[in-house]
Amino acid sequence: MEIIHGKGVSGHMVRGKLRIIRHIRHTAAHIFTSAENEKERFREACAKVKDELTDLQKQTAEKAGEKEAEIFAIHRMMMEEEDFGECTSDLISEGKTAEEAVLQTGETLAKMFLAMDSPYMQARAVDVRSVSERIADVLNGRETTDFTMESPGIIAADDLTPAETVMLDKNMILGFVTERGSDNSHTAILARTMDIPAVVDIGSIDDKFDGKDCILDGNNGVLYIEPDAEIGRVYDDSCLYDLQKKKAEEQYRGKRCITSEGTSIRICANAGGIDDVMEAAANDAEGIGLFRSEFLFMRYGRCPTEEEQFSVYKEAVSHMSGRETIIRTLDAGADKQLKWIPSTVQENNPALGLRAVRLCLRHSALLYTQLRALYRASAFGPIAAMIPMITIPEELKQVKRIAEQAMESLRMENIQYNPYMPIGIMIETPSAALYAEELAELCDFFSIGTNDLIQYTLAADRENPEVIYLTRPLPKSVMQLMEMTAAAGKKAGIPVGICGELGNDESMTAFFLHIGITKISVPPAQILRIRGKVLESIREESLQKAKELF
Amino acid sequence: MQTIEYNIQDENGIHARPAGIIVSTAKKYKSAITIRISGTEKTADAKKLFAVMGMGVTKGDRLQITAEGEDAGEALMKLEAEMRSAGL
Repeated sequence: MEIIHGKGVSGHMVRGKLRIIRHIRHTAAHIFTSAENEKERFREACAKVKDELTDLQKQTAEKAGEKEAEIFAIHRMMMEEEDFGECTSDLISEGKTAEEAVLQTGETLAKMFLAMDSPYMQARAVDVRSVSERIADVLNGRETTDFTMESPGIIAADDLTPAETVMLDKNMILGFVTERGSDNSHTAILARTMDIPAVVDIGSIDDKFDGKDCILDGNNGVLYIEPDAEIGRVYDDSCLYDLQKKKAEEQYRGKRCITSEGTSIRICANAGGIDDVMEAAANDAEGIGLFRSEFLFMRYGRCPTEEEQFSVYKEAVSHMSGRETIIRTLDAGADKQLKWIPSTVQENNPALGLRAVRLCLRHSALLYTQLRALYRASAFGPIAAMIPMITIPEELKQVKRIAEQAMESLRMENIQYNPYMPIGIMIETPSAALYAEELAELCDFFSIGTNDLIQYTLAADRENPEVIYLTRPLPKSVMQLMEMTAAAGKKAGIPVGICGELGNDESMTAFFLHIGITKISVPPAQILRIRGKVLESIREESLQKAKELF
Repeated sequence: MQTIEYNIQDENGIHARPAGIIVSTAKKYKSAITIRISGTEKTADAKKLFAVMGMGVTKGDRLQITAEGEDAGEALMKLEAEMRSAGL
């Protein structure tokens, strides 16, 4: 057994035959004609590559998302740069063929990037090389490196360009390793988004390993060649399991859940930042059910400005292209303390203290600024605000007064916003569930925060192993509170969703549908799995109904 | 000639995507636009991708962006807005 370490950039474990593929380095076979002729060939090749890149950008946008696709726009800009064209032209004038000239230009510019301090910029050398090689390919009339496989396996390449990565056939390529590359490269980012296990920077790999059985651990960055029985057992199980699960889940992409009564159940994503929003979009989320705005407040070590918040909210909603994005207002305090907020009293029991909406009402400028940013972003897409930890109706009334003030000020300043931006609340205290009917009249939606609802109902700290027995199996008390919440929502005609760990628990799905939950929000990677479970529950339910008819 | 100042907050500085946004925005205007990192000699023509990327702008750098021409004011406003919405 041979063990090779690299940088794990993406995914789980896979096992398969290793296929070593090396790029053919282009040695210009074409013979120099005249400078004019060579420049003309270069121009023609550029035009063709420009079309190719436009095409690739479109394909990537569909497969992995708009943001991932922008790299090909950058590639196009690189080749349209005067520097790029001039440098190539100069070399041609010196008597080089178009192929030689463009490859040399690529190399010169790649060196510039490699000489820079930032690892991120060094990784851009791949991009500029990729552009010049693409043009050289066209000039040579040669096909690009062939990554097609006859049977599923793991690719070992000298390097992969983003373009090659996105063109990989996910059914045949179980994973890949590259000799070079960094975890900052667009290739690595793409691998993560496409959920292909990948390990980069493994150093040189001997050709003798071609065709050998191997196990790739994308999490830990290890490639086992001809693994021994023990590692084989450990990894083989997990790799098969993951693969089967993933494949089974893919069938739910693009599917929508509609109950026998015609109610649609939306599977949305929880997000902790913009990256998660992109992952959600890539995983076919029908919206963002919970965007935790805390990261914005932790990032700077000070209160983020309205402008900073606005640009993040706007970016989030734009990534979701028309699907609802629910942003939770600041949920700090308790286990998420912000150092820059002056503490008033020493709290002996922070979980029951000044946290979430309580903190925001105590320092109402915080909430005012956040709501203004949210309203401003609401002019750019379907954004909703969600208030955490509402315990009594009076708190919600106060929040709504601040929202009115925020709208009023935007009106005065002639800034666009959506006056109908929904404001919903999280139901995460028993008191809120008991007040559900009254609260439903005051807001536009409910979302049940199961983690806190469980903790506060059972008076059991979720991190204390000694009291975990109280929470499993889930006691009827908690279920009843959820049922009351859903019923109150239904009565008032507002949607009720679930966001919290429980949404992720398949054994609860049927119960949620039964009580009338219409939205389940889970981590991006779980969307397809939960959608599958919802579809199954709906099928079982209608089957049951059909049986009762006969 | 007009100048604005801009603080870079993006973890990766001006990387590929924002550089693309800066250059494509700058190219829409007639004005000559130059970027300088405050306190250094590093400058770049905002219309040249390799030059902008090559500056190696990192988080915390303060930029002076200067525009000269008939549409200088408009160009700077638009650039700032685009950079801001790119999270730079």
